[in-house]
Parts: sequence; structure tokens; C-alpha cells
Amino acid sequence: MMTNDLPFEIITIILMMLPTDSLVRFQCVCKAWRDLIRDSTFINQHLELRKSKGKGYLLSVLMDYDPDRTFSLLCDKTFEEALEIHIPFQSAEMSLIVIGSCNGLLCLSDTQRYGTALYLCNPYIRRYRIINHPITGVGESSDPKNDSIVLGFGYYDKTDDYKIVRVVASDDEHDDDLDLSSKHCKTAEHTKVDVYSSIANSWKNVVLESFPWSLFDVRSELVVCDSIHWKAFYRDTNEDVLAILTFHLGNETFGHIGLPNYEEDGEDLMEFVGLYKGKLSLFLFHQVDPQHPWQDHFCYLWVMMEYGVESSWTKTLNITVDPGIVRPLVFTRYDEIIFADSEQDLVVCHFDSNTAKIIRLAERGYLNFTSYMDSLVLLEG
Amino acid sequence: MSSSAAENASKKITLRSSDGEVFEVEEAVAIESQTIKHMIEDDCADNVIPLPNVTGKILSKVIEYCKRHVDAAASASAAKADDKLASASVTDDDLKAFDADFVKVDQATLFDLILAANYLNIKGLLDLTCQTVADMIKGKTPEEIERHSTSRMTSLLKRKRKSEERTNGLLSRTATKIMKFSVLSSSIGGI
Repeated sequence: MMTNDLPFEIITIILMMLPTDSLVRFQCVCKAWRDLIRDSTFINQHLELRKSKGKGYLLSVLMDYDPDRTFSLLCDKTFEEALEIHIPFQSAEMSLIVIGSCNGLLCLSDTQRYGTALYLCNPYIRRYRIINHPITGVGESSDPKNDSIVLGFGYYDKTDDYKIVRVVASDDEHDDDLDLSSKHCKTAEHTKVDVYSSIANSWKNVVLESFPWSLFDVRSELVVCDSIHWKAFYRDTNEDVLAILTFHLGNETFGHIGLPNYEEDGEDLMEFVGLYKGKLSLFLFHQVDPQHPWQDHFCYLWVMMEYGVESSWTKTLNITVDPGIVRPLVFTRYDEIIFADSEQDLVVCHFDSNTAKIIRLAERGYLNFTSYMDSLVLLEG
Repeated sequence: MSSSAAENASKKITLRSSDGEVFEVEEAVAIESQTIKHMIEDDCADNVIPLPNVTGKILSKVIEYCKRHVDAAASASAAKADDKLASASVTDDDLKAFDADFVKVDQATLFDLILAANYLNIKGLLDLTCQTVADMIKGKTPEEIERHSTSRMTSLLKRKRKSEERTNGLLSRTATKIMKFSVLSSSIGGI
């Protein structure tokens, strides 16, 4: 292989076509190759090429304690197990929750020290970074144990920065005994927000004037138009309104998006926000009742056709999903939704064709699922 | 056939390789090469386009590739226009089979094809040939890759050694030469 006889620009093209594990090995061929493989432009182009070739995975993590924890990678087209990867670091409790995944990087947190023991990890190339946050209460007098922490993970491509958002709310205000008027004057004293930047490798406080939000989910990795999105309750004067809270990764400010009026779709609907065909969408479903599992399971998919324009919410699909949904997990790139059913099976349902099938996994239990792409990101550590 | 296709079909471009071989090709085939396309557009191609970086042997292969792909694209779009999606996908499979066979060549030819595709700026051919090399090396160890980088030196030495052994008698001369080779090879770092 007289690779030395080819001009370096061609060697670059050839290297970019190699799988990730080959590139990790080939760093030691010569200095020129090593420098190229570690170059962030090369890494991002390599990732884009793999994305365009449709090589993607779903990463599944069992949430219970296991010192020999591995991640299971499934091919995201066939759902067959492709790979098992060991977690490259040791965490004291080894009970990990995946906050999000992007470009082959996972953001993880210890469930026992949620929001304080954090990791950025590329398990494919066995690189990781420990990012801890000090345990401090929100206010001077508040007890950190009463704080509830919500995390978000996202990538800002304009600065090639991976960011973690940490929203800490003092739990005192979740006390139902508080009357509505005091709930209304929910100020920033009750909430503290910090943002971690992978480039700076440090946390920065986000100054808040007010934060009339009560976050629903404990984590989010949903990034649309450079913002992380969470389902949240907006503290209005008389009631809490469900909406979508956004955090822009560039200017690091909060915003919000209202949900469509879906009263006519039915009562007791549960909401799940995800990306459908690249657009922000709201999936509504009736959580299956174990007492009456034979009932029809109507589901609705509303899509925000024009991002940020609330009037553009359009009810796109009205389907019956069988079996019924207990816990939705993730939207896939192929317009499917994966959820757990009442038998604790994982089911994948393709929206457009409304076909559902069960995914057989080796592990059973409470699973995290996220889409995953192998990459060289974090090669520098 | 559309009128522009008829125009293109009638217009011929003449290409001359580095070793003086002349090839006449349809313009539609020639402009698969962005380099040639720009030469024609910029009007700096008179009657013959000289390609000093490509030998006749390689150029004829490149032309074969381009012709096949142009023909496939034409019949695929004709099939789609006639709503014959099944035949369009058959053409696609034929083309993939052609590409797979096309790169079953010796290493030197493959590298020459890469260089030609790069010089002539034919993206499809460059991607195909580079992917072939990528697939060849992806399973190798770094040592194998590094060792192969010196293979030109190695193969030269091997050829010389063999020719020495063929000469009759004069073992001492052979022995001296072998000693010289082993000194050389140890300085390279192990053959």
C-alpha cells in the first residue's frame, strides 16, 4: 500500500471514509495521520459523512446499578444488537442516566448524585471527561437536599461547543400549601441556572430576572434550531399552563413555545415532545390502563410546521397504536417512535405506515434510549 | 431523446493522453470531468484537449467509467419519465455491479485511477476508488500500514536480490550485495 505516494489531500479523503475504530488505531501510523485524525474539522466532516451514509445506532442503557455496566448499541434500522461497549470510567454508584447524546458524545449523570456528578463520554473511543458541579443550595438558607435539578444537553455547531444546562429549583415552592399569589411571585431566588461549555471546560451562571417555570422532565436532549427544549409548566397568575421551555445554546437565554389547543383530541392525554421529519412535534397518547388494556389507543401527532410560529401547529397524524403505550422513549430518524408497553417490551411504531413491532433486547428493565452515532469527538480528551 | 441530448451526442471532444494516445468522446461523457468541462466552457480547448497527467491506459479506463455512468443516468431518467421505476432500479444494480468490477485492478492501476480522478475532478470515480482503498486498509494494523509505506523500497530491494541470485557463481559478490541489503534494510527499520 504505497500510501506515501498519494498526495495528502487524497489520503485525507481516504481516511475520512474509514470507520471510527480504524481511525483510532491509525493515529500511530505517522505524525501527519495523527494530526489529521485529531483535527476537529476532520472529525466533524468524518461524522457528517457517516451520517449521510445512514450509519446510526440506538444506545440502550439499563438504569439499575451494575458495576460491569455496558452500553448496548443497536443498529437503528434493524434494531439488532451491533455492539456492546463498556463504560470507560468508574462511577461510585454506577447507576447512570443518559442526559443526552450528540455526535457520538454522551452526557451522563449519576442517579444518586444527579446533576452534580456529570460525565461527557465517547464510549466508542473510550474517552471521557468528568464534569462535576458543586453541591450548593439555590438560596442561602435552602437545603440542597430539597432542590430539584433538571439537565439539558446540546451541541452548538457555530462554536463547536457541547453544552450542559443545569436548572436547580428549590423544592420549597413545590409545596401545594402555598397559595397561588405567592406562587405567582416566583422569582429567580428560587431557581439557579448554570451552563457548562466543553470548550471552556467550566460552568457559568446564567443571570435570570424571573423564572416562572416548573420543569416536568428531569432531562432533555431535544435540540431544534439551536435551542434545548423541555416540557414545562408556565406559572401563570391563575393556573399552570403546559408549554415548551427553550434555552438558546448561542445566546444562552430562555424562551418558550406554546402548545396547540388539543382539547378536542380527548382528555387525560399525555404529552411527549420530539422531532418528526426534522420539525418540533408533540405526540399525544393515552397511557394504557393496565385494568383495561384492550381499550383503543388513539394517538395524535401535532407538528410545528414553522418553528416558533404557534399558529403553525398542525395535527398531522391520528393513529391507533397497538399495543398501548406506557412510556415513550425516543423518536428515531426514520419517523418512528419507540416506547415501552404494558408487558415491559420495547415497541417501535412507524408513524406513516402505522406498523408496530416488538424489539427483542437481551436486557430487560427500566431502559434509557437515545440515538447514537459513532465518532471521534473528544479524542483530545 | 431530447434536443439537448441530441446536440451533445453529436458533439465530439478529442482528448490526448500523456503518451500521445488520442481518444474521441462525446461531449456529455467528457464533461463528467469538471476539469474538462471548465476547459470547454472557458474556451481554452481547441481541437484537442491535452491531458499530460494521464496515460493512455488509464484514460481509456476513465472514459469507460464516464461513458457507463452517462448511459446509466440517461436510461434511468428515461425510465422514470415513463414511470418505469422497476427498470430504473435494475439499471442502478447493473451500475453498482459495474463499479465493483471496475475497481478490481492491481494496486498501481488503482492509485493511477485515483490520481486521474483527482486531476480530472470526477467526483464519482474519486469516491469509488478512494472507498476501495479505504476498504482495503480498514482492517489492517498500524504496523502493516506503516510497513507498506516503505514497500516501494522493499520491492525494489527484493527485485535486486532475486536478480543477483540468478547470476551464476560468484557467491562472494552475491554475499557482499546481500550484506549491503541487510545493512540498508536495518536502517529502514525492518523489512
